[in-house]
Amino acid sequence: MTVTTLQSRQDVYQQLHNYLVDLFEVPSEAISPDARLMEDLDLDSIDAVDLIVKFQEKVGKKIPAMEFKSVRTVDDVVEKIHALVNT
Amino acid sequence: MNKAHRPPACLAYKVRQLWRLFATGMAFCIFGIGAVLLALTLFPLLMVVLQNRAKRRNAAQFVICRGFRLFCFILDITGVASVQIEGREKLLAAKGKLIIANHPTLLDVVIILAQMDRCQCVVKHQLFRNPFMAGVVRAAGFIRNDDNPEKLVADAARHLREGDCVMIFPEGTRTASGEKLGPLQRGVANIAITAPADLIPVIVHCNHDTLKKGTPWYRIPPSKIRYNVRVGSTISATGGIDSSDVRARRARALTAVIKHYFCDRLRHDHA
Repeated sequence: MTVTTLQSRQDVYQQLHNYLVDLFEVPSEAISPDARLMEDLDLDSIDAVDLIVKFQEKVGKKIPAMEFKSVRTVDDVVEKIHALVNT
Repeated sequence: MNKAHRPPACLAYKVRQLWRLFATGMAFCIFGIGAVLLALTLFPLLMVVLQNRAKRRNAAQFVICRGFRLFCFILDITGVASVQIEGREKLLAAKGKLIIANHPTLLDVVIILAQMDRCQCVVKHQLFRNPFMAGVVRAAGFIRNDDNPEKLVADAARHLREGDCVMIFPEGTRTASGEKLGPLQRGVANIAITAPADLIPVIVHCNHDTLKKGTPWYRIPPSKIRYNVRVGSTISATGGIDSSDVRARRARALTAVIKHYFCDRLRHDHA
């Protein structure tokens, strides 16, 4: 497993962007910081679980699913992951 | 309406209409009272007689299917609604299959389960708190749709692997009035892939817009409700989909297959 640091918010955003396009077939142009995961990007709750698992593998840290209960937009995810990586 | 020029026919129509209004109301009462009676008599008795939980659940599911069959018979003889089914043998022979259907009306699940001997179902969570239905859905061990999604998928997949059929509406709710098919949820595909289990599609067609979402029961149609239910050929959960692909993409691919299947068959439907 390659553990990347994902130091900056920009790194996290880019990684999330890649996941959304590669794993969830989200059209690249639909992704913006304000885009809502469920309504705008057509993710569902099972996708959310998969996304968390992917980030866990990436950062090599356990991400508590509870942390993601309040997540609505792309920016919310970036915020959470960035905070978790830098603690 | 040339019938307006013929008073006797008109009167006969009014009488028939009044009867069907009465019979429709009665049917709703019979359904509710029947459910409560089962929950108060037969299902508690099962608790005493059958110690094994799975056997008890199976027995309750059998009673529900037969109850629905009786209910459909009552709807037919009272002139409220009739059901014509094609391919019923596919439902009867099914083992460990996901039964999926479009969801135009309130009675779809009743009509489909009436054709079977036993079936597990994913049902909307409100029914678990509905005073009429709670006892029934609990006794049958039906799966709540508001469960933790991972658990819902795992539970449904387990039942499928054990050989039960699981009935679920991919739309997650009734089709909106004026539409042929609502947006599909991907839970169905996730269950099918996880089990893995193939899917049996059921196409429900109803000649009237009644019993749709948001229509009150007393707004009855001008003639008997006629359902046409077609059981299709099995859809493979894995066919044509790269099994090494990630779950999210496989679920999307299978959902697209399901959507195409139903859209194709509902396109020429003029309800």
